[in-house]
Amino acid sequence: MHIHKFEQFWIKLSFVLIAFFIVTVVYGFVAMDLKVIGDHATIDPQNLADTKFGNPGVREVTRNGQTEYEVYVQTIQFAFNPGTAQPIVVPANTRVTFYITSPDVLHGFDVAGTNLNTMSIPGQVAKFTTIFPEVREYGIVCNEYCGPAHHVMEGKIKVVPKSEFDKSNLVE
Amino acid sequence: MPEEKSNPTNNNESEKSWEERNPDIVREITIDEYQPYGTLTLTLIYFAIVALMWVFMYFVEFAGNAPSIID
Amino acid sequence: MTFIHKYPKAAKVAKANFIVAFIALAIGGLFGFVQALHRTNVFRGFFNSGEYYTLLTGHGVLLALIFTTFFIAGLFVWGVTRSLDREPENLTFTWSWFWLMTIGLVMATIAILGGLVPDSSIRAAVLYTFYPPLQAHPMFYIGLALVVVGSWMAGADWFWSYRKWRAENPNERIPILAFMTLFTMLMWYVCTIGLALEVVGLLIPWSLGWVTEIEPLLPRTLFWFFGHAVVYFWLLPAYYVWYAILPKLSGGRLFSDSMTRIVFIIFLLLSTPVGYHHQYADAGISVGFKFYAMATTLLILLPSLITLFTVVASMEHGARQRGGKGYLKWIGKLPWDSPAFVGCALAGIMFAAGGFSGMINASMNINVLIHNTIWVPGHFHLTVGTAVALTFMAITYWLLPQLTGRKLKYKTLALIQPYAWFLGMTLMSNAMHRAGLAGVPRRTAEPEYSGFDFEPIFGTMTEMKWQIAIGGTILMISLILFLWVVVASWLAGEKSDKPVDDYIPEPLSGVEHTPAILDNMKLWFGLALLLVVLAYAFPLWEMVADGIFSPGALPRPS
Repeated sequence: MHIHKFEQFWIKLSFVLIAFFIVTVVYGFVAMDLKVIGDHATIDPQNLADTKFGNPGVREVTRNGQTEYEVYVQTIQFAFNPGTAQPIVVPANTRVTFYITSPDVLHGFDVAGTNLNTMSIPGQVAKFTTIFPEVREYGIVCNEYCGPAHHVMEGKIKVVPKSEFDKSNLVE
Repeated sequence: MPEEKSNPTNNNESEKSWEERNPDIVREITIDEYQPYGTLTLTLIYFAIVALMWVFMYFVEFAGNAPSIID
Repeated sequence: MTFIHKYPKAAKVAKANFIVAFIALAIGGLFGFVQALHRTNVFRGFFNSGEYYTLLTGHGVLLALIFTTFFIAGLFVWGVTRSLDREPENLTFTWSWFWLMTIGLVMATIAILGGLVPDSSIRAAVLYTFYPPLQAHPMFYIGLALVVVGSWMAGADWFWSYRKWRAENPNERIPILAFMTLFTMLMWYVCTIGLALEVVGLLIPWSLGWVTEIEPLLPRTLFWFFGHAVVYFWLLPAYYVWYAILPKLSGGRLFSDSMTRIVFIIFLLLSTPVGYHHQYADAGISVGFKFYAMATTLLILLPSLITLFTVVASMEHGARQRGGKGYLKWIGKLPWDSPAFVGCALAGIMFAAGGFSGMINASMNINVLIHNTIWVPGHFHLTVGTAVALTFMAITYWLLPQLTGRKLKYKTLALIQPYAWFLGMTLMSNAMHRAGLAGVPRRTAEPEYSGFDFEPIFGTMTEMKWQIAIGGTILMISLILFLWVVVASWLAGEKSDKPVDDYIPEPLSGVEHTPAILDNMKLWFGLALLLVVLAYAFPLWEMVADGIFSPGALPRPS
């Protein structure tokens, strides 16, 4: 086989580039805590009422002696529950774990301008944990086509200072 | 493509190489003399752009775009 | 003598495929233009925002599935016939796959356009990914299935020609045009297994009401089993043009026959096991499988990076034969006044840019930055929308004279067309990428929200909106130029024995340097199947172990 020496050099360089990408991704994943969601749990999309999704909202939990929060969100045609009718309120600088699923069709759950971005698939529970570093409001966008009014599906997350977090709105 | 050999437009011209028949071509470059320096230059420039943009996209745009999925 | 005089039957088949392809291109392109104006809120008077999704489905299906498949069929008929020097073996069979695909396309299109008729029960606003539980009319799925079955028969037709040729030429190497065709089709057979299982096994029975519930993740996963390889089904015919024809258009020869074959083999092996990289943001698929998909996806950069070198080196060879000198000055000696060359070359430049955004998409965690944002259509309008579509349009300027025996008309318009496409796509695509970084979603009729504003990092929302609208308008003008040149040349071009220089010179490093093992189709096809089993057997088993239709969701009208 006849491969020009420049091309041989380029092929080696291509492998270097590919390896460099994989190393960066692994470094980000392990050392910088830039994760992706994985396999959490399946759920019967026709019977969400009997689960924590039946009473969606923010819950307080204690893990490893720390106060953390869990947020259960249903994505429905064409709203986030909670999120659309009233904002999801969470404290800043605290671990917050989201659990998201859908009773009807595929939706997206994208906190605009951040790295929080997941699919919401009927039958699957998407689970991810994050910490909001800033006190501010974020928009939530459904970024998977979900039907004729897809474009009106939006919500809001309100991040408040830890000291001002009102626990009276938590769900049990 | 071997089938091209039996496919000359006329018999006189079939003696000549494609390069000799083509008026836009000023000299024929054989495989032994051809050194693609220009291609090497272009691909190295592309490599540099891609590597730099990658570092920028990953460590500035992405890593600096918190909140992120941490678990 | 050109193609139509030597192979009149194959020319007719190729032309029929091109007619369908160009009609799909015209309608799909028009929908794209309407969407560019609608989304940016420049003009929303054509359709309402609910109907936008019907147009979007039409745009995706007609361009990404119909235009591509029919053009590719025409291109491959030309290449197989020419390189094996034989007409199709049985014209009844050949025309039956063409008509099967056409009937399928008409059914799918009727189902989609039914959505524009008020109160129609025939609808298919499910986009070209048709994720359940959104449900389209059964005619949509059956139509798509017929297109795919027709494409399988087309592939069988080319393998038939190949076997007959092989029987008569037992010691010849596979000619490069036929090699690229057959390996592309082998890849197509591997990846369409997923689509066939999804559409025939799940969606058709479900849309007919034979089963009511469906598990959304399973068909979605089967779709992406097919859905990334399909982009290589579009791309490889563009590579086929870049490898086989572009060197000659540049005034040179293909740099290396061996590298060409190696590239096609790597695509056959790796195109399908990468599908999960469209599902990095999905629950229900473990991080380990996502990592495997990332590794294979990044490996598939390799054949494209090799292509970059081989194709550019072939062009440089041409430029130097045309008197080019220096490290970069030779670029000026390329035939920048030849429509076919310019289209292919500009398509290649756009692909280099689209390649970079593809690297971001492929890389697991950074993917969440842009997942389902308008960055993604920004990316694939560079790849399928330019690298593929512009190459197909450009090579039409060179193929059409061979298929019709008529010279190209309006060469100036034909020359303006690829430059216009390049300009329009530069405006539209850069803005889409940047808007995506700000979080603007794809697939939406009205990307304006009442509760918050997007905060772009580069540029302003207003400037991006206008770049998308103006870019889309320039693309529409370019498309009209293309169709005008094609129709005028087809109907009224000057008849000639030699309407275009259709000679293709041999590669610089020819097939005599190419190891014979590269032509071993059974070996590479077997390995490709093995890699697919390794990637998909376990995760698919996990999904179906609790029942194929469970956890089940009810269908929803589209």
